[in-house]
Amino acid sequence: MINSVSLKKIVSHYTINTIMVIFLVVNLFPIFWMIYNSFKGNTEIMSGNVGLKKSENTIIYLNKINGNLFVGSSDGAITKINDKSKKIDYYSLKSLATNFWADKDSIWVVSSDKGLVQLSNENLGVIKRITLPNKALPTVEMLRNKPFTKVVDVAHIGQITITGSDQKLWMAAEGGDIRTVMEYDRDSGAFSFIDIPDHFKFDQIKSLQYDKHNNLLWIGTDGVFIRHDLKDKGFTFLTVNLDYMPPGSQGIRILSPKEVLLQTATGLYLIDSKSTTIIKKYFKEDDITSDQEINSLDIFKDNFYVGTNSGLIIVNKVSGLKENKEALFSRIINGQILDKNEMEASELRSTYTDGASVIIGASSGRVSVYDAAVKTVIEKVQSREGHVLMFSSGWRNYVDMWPNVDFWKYLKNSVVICGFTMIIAMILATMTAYALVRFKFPGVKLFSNSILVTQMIPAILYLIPMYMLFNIIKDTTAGMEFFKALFGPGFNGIMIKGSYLGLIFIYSAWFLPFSIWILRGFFAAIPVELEEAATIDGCSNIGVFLRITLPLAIPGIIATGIFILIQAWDELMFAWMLTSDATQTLPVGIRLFVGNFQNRFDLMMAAATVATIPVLILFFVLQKHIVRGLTAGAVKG
Amino acid sequence: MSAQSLVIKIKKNKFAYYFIAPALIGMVLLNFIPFMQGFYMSFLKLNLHTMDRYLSAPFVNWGNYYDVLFNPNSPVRIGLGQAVRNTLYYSVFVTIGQLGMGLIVALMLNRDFRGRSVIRTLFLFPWIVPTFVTGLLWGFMWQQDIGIINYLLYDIPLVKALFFNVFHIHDIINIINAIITLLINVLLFPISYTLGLVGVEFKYAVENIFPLLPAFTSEIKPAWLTGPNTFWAIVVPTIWRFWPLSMLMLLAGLQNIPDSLYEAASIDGASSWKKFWHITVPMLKSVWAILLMFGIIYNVYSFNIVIMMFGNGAGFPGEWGDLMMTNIFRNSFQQWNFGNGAAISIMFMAFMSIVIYYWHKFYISSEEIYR
Repeated sequence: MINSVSLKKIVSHYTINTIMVIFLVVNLFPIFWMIYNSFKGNTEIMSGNVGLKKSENTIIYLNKINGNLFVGSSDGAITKINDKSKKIDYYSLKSLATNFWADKDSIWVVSSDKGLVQLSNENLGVIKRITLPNKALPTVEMLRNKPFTKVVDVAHIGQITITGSDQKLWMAAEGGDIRTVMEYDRDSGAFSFIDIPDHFKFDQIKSLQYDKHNNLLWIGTDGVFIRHDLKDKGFTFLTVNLDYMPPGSQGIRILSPKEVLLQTATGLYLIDSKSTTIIKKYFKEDDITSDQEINSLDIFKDNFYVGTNSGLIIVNKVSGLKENKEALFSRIINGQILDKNEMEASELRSTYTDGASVIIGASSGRVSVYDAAVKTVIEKVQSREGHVLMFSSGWRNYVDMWPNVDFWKYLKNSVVICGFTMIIAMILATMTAYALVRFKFPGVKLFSNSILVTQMIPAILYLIPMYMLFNIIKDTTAGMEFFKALFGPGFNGIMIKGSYLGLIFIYSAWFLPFSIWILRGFFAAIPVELEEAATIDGCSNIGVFLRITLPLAIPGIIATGIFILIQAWDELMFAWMLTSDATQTLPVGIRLFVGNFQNRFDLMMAAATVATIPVLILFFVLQKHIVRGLTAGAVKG
Repeated sequence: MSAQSLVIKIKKNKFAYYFIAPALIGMVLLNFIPFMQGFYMSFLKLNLHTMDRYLSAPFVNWGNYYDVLFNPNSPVRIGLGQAVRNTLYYSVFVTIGQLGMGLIVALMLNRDFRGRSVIRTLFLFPWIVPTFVTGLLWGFMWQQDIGIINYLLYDIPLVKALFFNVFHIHDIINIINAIITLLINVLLFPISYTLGLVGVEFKYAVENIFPLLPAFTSEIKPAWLTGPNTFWAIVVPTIWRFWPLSMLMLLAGLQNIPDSLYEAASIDGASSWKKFWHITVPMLKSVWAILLMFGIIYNVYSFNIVIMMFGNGAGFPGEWGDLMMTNIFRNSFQQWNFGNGAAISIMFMAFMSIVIYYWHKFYISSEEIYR
């Protein structure tokens, strides 16, 4: 009998505990959700994607070295596949917008958020890590200079394009204002900079290529195509229709000591190395329709293997003819692979060919080997998924938030106003509550009842007269000679509306009744006998208060003070109407923020988190007092 | 009390008067006087044009009150009836929700177990989140397409299957809605019939009288921030944010109930349910009373959560989301009808005072029974 009872007790104990924990999790979920979303980018939020975002792993680099295929993806991962199609090595930089370059025994991986890494061909082990100089990288300052409405999508980091010789590497970042190419000396490890003169008009540097025959550096931008002579440091330029050069592609190929092939989205240009003039253009304007935009290119002998949005086309260098009038692949609906010969052609991002087969890299880590002879895809390789992005791009929201909204101002104002309110209200409430509890003076009942009555009055009934009063004061003092003389010209009337003092006094008066009510309970809990004993010993009233009652009541006073602070921090209506631009508090700031960023939920969540943190910290530090304060109210009633 | 003893008493309590002086002066200046001004302003025609004249604006006697109550063409009346109705339902639902949840969790926390104070502190977190953040956060969570709540219900196959196919909750909700509709029809039938006899057409639609529970269909995600669902969209965050307070106070009250009472009842053979009803509930009455009073007052004057949740629109929370405070605020500061705003506030306040007065009487009487 006893056993079954205690067993029932234990079972119910555990069930209730489980229910309680579930409750707790559900209860805290919104807070977690707020913080979690403040780390995500807006594009994911708006697309309804709830989970953690993984980085894109588009295959942007394919190279065969010594029979091994190196597959590089945009998230900084590089996989080495041997000729038996087995993946034998793997390395990931876990970056965004990565680029690759290979020389005879190493592979270089570069991105603007993780720097430069040199890997060995043999085993993809790290040989060297190099930090890129800040001078030539896209920075947060660039975000700050943008006008208010153009907050950059935080997930976008510009590509760094890379090329190299035996002694040097050249890199340039794709950023709105960057016109510098970094030159890295491989022996000394030193960086120097090549600044492109101002009279070349372009927005972004898109590609680089080193011409070892002529010791030239070819720079592809979205405005002009530049030939930089490394010996005499001269610049020549050529304008072609460089409307769009896709990231990750080698836009410039050295065909021979005399010819350079420039790949743009809408055409291939054969350019003379010496004179920087166009020898030949492949694809006339009307040849290319939008689904034939050029995404990737590889060259074998005299044939260009061009990956476009609708498939792979082979163009002969001399004749300019397309070998196949149609694409080598059929189109696929909605990315569904219908059979093993077909592939989403519009996602071709990299191509590699050795004449017999063509290796195609596409988005989502897909690599396919296409055999030109039998015209089928003979093999497919799937790269690993991209790394989880949550914190690598997450803090950007918090950074983005501040330049557009003057958070420091709001925070400072809130702290000042709420702090002073707390102090003033605490002092007044303590004094009043003590007097009400200890002294039965005429009018005590009236006073305490009227305190209770003030709780009934809605805030707006104070707000309307106050608002108008402040306006009147401003208008009348604007016209008064006395004040004009006092404050000098440019005086527009005493602005109580926008001052700290006005709001502090109003808040103190607004929060006072409730504080008095709570403190009464605390004071009532202190035994009168202590005070009476002190009075008998000849202590004055004020002495009793200061030396005996006050120390005992400190916990209650602190609790009340915190209560006041939390409520004042929260207050929106008064602050909205009675503050001016310079004195707006945090709630008003967030309100305006929401009005301006209606669909930027990521920024809004970041702002919300920042607004919660001060109160959260305060709560953590002082929770014992708060809890005690609240429960004492219940007991004393 | 004779005048002489009065003077003596005042002299004796000089200290007390010094102590309450600052607060008294402050409250007179910043509470009492503005309130009187507000009251006086409800009799003035104060709007954008006359606000410069402040208290010398034209005196219209009961004009504002008439406008609000009887004038069908007055712009202040737009949405006022709905605001009243919403506030009424809102305060009832929210207070019940807060007290109910507070009680359940307080009962759960009333046992002794390891880590109890940690869990109790964790439960307090929603109260720490400022109200304007709550409005913002839940405005995001309630989004129809990208909000997490709709996602949880519709995009997780297991949950969706449980919701629709196993528990048929949407059908249950429809049944509940049907019952509510029937009840309202039945209750209002006598009124509509009597009015019909007198020749007055009493047109009502259930959708205008009571916010039915959100209708879930298995294909389309419900819209929470428009339509009648806005009511539930504002009720839930308010309960979420304020129930920890109730929980804390109820817990303190529960812990003050001596165990001996329970033991005595057990010896007498009382079941748990009986123990709950006859010991716990009565002993908590004083806590209930306070929570109820402060809860109702606070919720009736609720403003922050609603105004922040609907910031994306013109700030108008919709038919079912509008509360008295947001309505008055809009009238006063966005349409500049100060006089009318003050009048509505005064009437509202008067109504609440009456309610609280009777509650106070009840509380005093119950106190006297149990003290």
